[in-house]
Amino acid sequence: MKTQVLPRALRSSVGRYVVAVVAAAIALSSQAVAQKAGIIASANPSAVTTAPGGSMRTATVGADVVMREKLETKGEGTLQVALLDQSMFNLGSNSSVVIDEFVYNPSAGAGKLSATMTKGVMRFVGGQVSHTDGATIKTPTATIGIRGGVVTFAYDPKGNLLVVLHYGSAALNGISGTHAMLTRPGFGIIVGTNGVLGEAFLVPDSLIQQWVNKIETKLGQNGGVATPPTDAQGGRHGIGDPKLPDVALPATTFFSIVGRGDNLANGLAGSKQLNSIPPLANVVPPVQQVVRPVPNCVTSCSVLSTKP
Amino acid sequence: MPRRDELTTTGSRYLSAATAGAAVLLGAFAATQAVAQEPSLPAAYNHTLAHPTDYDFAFALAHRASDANDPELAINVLERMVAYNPKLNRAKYEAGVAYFRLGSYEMAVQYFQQVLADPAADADLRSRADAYLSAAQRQRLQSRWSVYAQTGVRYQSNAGSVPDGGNILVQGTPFAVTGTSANKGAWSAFGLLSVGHDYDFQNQRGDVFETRFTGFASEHFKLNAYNIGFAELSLGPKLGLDIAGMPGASIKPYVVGGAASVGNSYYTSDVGAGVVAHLPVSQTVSIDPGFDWRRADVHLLANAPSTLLATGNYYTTGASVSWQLASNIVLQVGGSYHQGVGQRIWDRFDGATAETSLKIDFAPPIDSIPRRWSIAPFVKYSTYNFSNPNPFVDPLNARHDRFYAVGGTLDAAITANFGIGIGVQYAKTASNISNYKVKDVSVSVGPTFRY
Repeated sequence: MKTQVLPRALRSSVGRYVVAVVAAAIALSSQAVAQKAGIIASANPSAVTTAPGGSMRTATVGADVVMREKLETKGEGTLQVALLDQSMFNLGSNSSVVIDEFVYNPSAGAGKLSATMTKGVMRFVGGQVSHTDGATIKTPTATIGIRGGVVTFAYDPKGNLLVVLHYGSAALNGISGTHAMLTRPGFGIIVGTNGVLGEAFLVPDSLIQQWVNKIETKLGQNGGVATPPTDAQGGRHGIGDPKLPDVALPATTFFSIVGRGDNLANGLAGSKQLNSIPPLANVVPPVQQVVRPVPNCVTSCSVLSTKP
Repeated sequence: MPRRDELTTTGSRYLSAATAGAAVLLGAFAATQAVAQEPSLPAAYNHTLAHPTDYDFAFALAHRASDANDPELAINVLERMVAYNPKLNRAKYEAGVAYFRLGSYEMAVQYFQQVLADPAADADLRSRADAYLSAAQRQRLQSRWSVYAQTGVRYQSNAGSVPDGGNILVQGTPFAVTGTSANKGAWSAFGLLSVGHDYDFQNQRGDVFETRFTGFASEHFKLNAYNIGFAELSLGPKLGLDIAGMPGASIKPYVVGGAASVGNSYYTSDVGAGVVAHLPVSQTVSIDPGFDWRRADVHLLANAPSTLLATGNYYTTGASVSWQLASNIVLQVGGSYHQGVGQRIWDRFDGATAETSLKIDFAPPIDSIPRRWSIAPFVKYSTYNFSNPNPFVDPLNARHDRFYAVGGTLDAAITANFGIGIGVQYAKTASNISNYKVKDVSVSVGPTFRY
């Protein structure tokens, strides 16, 4: 009997372990699916989100955003999603983005971030992940890798995608097999509907203004909060106080220039000193040929100002 | 002997000074403690995620992020605030400043224009936004001019460069300097002009053709023989370098030429060339190594027995490091090796220079002034070691000099274009030969213009 009981107990135990392991795996899997990536920072109607396996819900400020969540705006809707690593997605009207993957290790300041954008306009502001391992934005026609960075993505009505760099760098890989880099702020590249990349060009202010308008909260909207902040609040914390940096010559450059003038004068000073010595006429050549050097450079020798 | 009440008064002064000093130290310590108690930027950011409507905390974080040279974090927070209230002109302005600091002038322009378009924005904020907008728009132009000019008066305690001991050596024999040459202190009027032009090729690498002009003239009120004038022009393309992880890196070859007059007579001319690189190794640190060669031809006093301004070739190689310690503080440290190869063997020398300066921007006391003021202390040390004795001065000993300078400038803008500049410098040369031991204190003050 014992020999039968033990195997039965064993089988029972194994069964319990299997059930526990499967349950844990499912739980872990569910946790992975529901891993928090950030929050809804602001939302203007109509902005909706759809978590994986969930139903569409109206975006509300402070609500969690998880991996593989779909973010959508319609009409005058705008949406901001602030991620845990300090990245931010700013979606303009009629836009759609899915956060495919977000892994962030705060202690290392590193991780992985990828998202897919299929329509509309979006400005991505980089955080810790894009500064270390880089972030990836996928579109149907190209994949864009971002280092550091602030980048705007905008579809035109024909389905062409314009990628504009504001800071950092962006590597574009079109599905046509073409590649390009954006390294200078204000430059953009058009990705055709066939995935062919155009030449980089300086994007006109008027175009940028259009996208900024689409992304921003309109007058009369409040981003989804009941009581919005005021200018006075910002002012109390020094917001709006910074002034244009001074553009004076560096001190070393100023004195390098002035000192160069002094050097020139010193040559003459030496002659005058020698002129004042009566016996000198008998021991040295004409006094105007005697110049007393001074220890300074002949040119503007300040090493902090050698750049002409 | 001092009386008892005098001692008491003196003691009180020391006590007051000590108390004041202790108060300052305690204040500084308290401020340090306060800073230490603030949460880290990531922790503060997490707080804004947990409490998105804690606006005071968010604004404080944006301010800290700006101060800590993290414009992206400031943008993250400020754009959230603007999304809640599109009439937040201060937040828009601050976001524009953050983009400006990132070099994203196209985005900065958008925010500054929005502030200026709102009639509700207060006059001081509009003034600041206008100053920034002009600067940002200029960066977007293909042809860009910049001008810095200063004029004023200057006092030198030793304009005649009289040696410390009042003696000079001539063929190894000491002579006393007498007469008008010993008249040390002197005033002069001066003018300084620095003009730059950038032609932006508007390509992805950021190639720019740079033209730089520097001119200086001084007119003494009494010592007219020491009137000085010189001008220098340099030209060269600044070419973007494609170095991974180093956006903004560049290299610039250039040619340079100039001429100078002294005592209203043509004195010297020089031509040369060089190359300088700009390597931003991080968001806050850049290194600028360079090499410079000049060929100088001395026309007046061409047969002078000894001078650093002798006809010959001059070489300088070195590097400077610029470190943005905070949004308003830049530390510069530089070192170089220089060599002069004059035609005569006693005109040949080599040596080194080390210098450092700190530029601190700060808010002016009047809100309506749209630019920050700056104070920039510096120290400099150079050595000059001549390879051979000069028979006209000291036939037995080759000259070895050590040059020290310490000083600083204050630049106080009054409007976006006009201001006041003050410069103070103490310079001393120590030498093994009495002719070259000199000290000089100079103070200059006058109006400035910048565009």
